[in-house]
Amino acid sequence: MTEKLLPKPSPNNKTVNEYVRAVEHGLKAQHVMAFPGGWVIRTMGRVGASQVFSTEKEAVAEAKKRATTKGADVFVHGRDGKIRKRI
Amino acid sequence: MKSSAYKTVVLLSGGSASGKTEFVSEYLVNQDLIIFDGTLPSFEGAKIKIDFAKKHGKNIRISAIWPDDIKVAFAAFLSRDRKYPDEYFYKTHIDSRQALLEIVLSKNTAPITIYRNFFDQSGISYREMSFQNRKSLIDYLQTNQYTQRELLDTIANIND
Repeated sequence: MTEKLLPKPSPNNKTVNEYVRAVEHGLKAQHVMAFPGGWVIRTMGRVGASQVFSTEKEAVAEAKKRATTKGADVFVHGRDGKIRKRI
Repeated sequence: MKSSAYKTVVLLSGGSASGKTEFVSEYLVNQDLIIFDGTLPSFEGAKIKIDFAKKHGKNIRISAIWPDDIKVAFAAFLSRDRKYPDEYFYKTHIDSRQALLEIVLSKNTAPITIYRNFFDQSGISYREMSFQNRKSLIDYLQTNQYTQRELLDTIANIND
């Protein structure tokens, strides 16, 4: 198998630029997820220790606070991993 | 399709928010092509399109768009495709890869090219994957199938 890198998309390509903006916005989203012993808030593309909240309500409140600062969305995942709620 | 003067049909394949439309807008838009910009979720649907195109004397090829990092596609999906549940995201990624494998395994096939994309600080880039023969393509497709559990686990380990 071989790979060939294609020319970089034009900086003026609106469709590509909208996609990039969507990715950047989505990467900031705050995800409230079940965790052994409680709930954690996670974001994509950032590695770090997670604070464990005792209740989903506490985690959601903190996630909302962080999301407001970042202009991001909050997603609450069920124990099966699927998104249960978008806030 | 049958009345078009264009001789080549391109079927796009790939899960939701994988970068298909963006690929078309950059690399295919100014060419004389009939483009089906969808996820190509089933072998049966693909076969109908392939047979129809062939019947009308068209050349047909399949361009599959795969993100290196499924989380990037998921991030775009969450921002853009608000009306769909996340299950739709998982399903389209699973089904499009499965359908692609079934197309290659079938006798009634069309040339397939896989383009992988990656995202970094400078934006999105694409690369074209080439395979020595059909068997190496089949091997690649077989080892790169998704299950919903795998996708959910990847997304769940969201800050890994």
